[in-house]
Amino acid sequence: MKIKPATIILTSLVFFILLGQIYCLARVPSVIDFLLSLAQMSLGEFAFNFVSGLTFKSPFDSNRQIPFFAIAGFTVLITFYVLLIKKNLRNEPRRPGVPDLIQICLVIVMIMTSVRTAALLLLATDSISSYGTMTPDERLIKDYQASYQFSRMLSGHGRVRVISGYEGIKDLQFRMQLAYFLYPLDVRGIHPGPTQACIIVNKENARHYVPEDFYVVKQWDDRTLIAFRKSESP
Amino acid sequence: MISSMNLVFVLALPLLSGALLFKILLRETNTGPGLAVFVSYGLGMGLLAHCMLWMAFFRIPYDMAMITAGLLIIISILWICLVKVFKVRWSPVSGNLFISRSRDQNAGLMIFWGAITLMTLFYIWVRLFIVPVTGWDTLATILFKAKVFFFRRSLDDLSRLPHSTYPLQMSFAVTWLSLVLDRWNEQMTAGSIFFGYILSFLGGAWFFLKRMGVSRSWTAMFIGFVISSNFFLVHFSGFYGDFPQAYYNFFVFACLVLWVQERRSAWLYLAAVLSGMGAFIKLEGLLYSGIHCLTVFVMLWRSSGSRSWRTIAAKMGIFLGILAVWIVPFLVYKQLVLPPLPVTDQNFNFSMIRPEFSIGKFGMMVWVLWADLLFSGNWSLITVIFFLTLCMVPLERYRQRPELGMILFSLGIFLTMVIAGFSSTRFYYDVIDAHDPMSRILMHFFLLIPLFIVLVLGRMENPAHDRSNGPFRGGGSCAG
Repeated sequence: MKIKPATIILTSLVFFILLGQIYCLARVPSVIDFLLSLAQMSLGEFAFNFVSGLTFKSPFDSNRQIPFFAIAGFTVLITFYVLLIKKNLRNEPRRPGVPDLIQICLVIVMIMTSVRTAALLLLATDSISSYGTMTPDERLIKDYQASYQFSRMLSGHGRVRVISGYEGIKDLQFRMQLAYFLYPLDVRGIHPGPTQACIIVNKENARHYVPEDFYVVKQWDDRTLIAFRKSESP
Repeated sequence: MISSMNLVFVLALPLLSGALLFKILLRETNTGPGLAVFVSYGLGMGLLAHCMLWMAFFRIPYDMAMITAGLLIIISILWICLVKVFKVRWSPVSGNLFISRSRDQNAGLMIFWGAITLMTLFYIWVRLFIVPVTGWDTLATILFKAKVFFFRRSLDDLSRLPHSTYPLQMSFAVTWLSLVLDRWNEQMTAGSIFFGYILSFLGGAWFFLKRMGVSRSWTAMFIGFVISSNFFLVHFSGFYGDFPQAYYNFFVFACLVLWVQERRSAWLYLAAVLSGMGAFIKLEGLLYSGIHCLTVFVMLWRSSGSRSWRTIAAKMGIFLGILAVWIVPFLVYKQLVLPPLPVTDQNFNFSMIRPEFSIGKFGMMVWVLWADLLFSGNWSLITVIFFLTLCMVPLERYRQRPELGMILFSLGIFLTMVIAGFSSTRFYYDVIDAHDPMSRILMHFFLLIPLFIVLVLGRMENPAHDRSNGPFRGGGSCAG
């Protein structure tokens, strides 16, 4: 059988992909173990990972992620490819049309998308049962309680100072969410003017950080409170 | 206060303005209402955003009445142009909804992808309208800006907002819909606008591909490719600017393909309008407009056998002129109205780009790009099918079909730009630290890959293939 240049290129491509997979899975003992670990995932976690780029966290090393689609797809693809080579070796006449290998890929895409769509429906049902009966306000409380709870306490215009005990990205996220949910109260210092309220969160002995001329309006616990300037009313 | 139920009627205003613009540009082309309706959404949203930008120039406060008046003025001007200047008789029901050069169909395949699409749309609807919005960019920039514009009724605070130099189309759309509702409800406004983009994309892609002569089976397959791609699905169900950017890029190239196929300048001009509107979605949009210009120039130059340089210059001049109408106002606004901003990560400025090229970084960037395309799980098997298509399709087909060369050229320029851009600037570290930026950038041009696949495989010129030009040989079952 004469080997065509396209066959050589494709074989190289498949092996390159295979090597890439080995690279991705370097520290994972076996795909079987990985698949078994899926059964232990809760629906939410499963669906989230399933949807968000299908990069499952490796059950053996949480810092590594496994491109599940790629594993499943390429494994089947290589299997079919081997079968195809066997078929070609038998010198069966080729029919015109879409190349076999592409047809195989299309079938794989269809199978995988069907499986994923089933997972999506489960996730949608799960979301409806969690959020469906809630008001928009309750939904935000559920997802953003740390920041959104303050917007229920405060209203109107003016500047708000935030003293946060969070660190790094969590602090950034908290301030970003607070700025969004509280607006038109100004957390980011967009509008000029004196500070009218102060939010203290996640600070041990929060009362200690209340600025002068401010009084505590509401205190949730030792770490979280809202204070107002003395000239202001809640 | 207008009730939520009236949102559909409210969305009809930009839709109508978009439809009129579409009709003016394609007044001598019978496209059928299907394509017009779906593409009009993107055009209308672009018109709305530019209307609000011009209002900011003249310091007209944002309120429902003023913006509606602005839209009505645009609609009136477009209507007068259409009926009085171009003497076109407007009849929305004229034409065949199913104008198409495509021939075959595989009912099973279309039912399969139709069902998958409907179920996926249901999931997207749940994510957009029931689950609260998430995502850093969504809350911190797009929605936060929209909320400030909504409460302040102006752009006066723009310079003090995060990413103040970024284009504003998405924020403007949410502000406008919130003004119409007369209350802040990010889920309803952002959800409605985004769902509109998704429906417009799916419908527009369907009619564009059919017009390109792609068979219905392969058109369904194209929709399937997009739906099966995980990264698109994630972005369908969030309110990021990346999908609308990909939306405009795709429609620009769809128009350019039709321009190459049909040799009608109207498609070129529509592409220019869409490219200009795309530049108001994200900062990268400006660079993409540059790629569109280069592509148009190369295509004009390539087909210049019977043309003079004068003709090329004239066509390019019109293309650039139309583009400038959409791009220049925001650039002028940033230069003249916005105060000088400190150069920070949040206020992008081209002076931030400092060449730091090294071979090692270049190699790493090529690997990151390659890994994202093939090993990330973001794009299903689309990239694999693309490479297979490239390898398996005879070269003659590329020579006979200049639009295929055009797509490959644009993809090549885009990928070169991505690799060179990331490996020679400090954005390199953003890509190395997190793979998300690379995937998001790739997404903007990714739709060209399934477009290429279906143009190659779904439109076989060889009569021997015509009987079997469904995705599966013989046009029968998946087993083929």
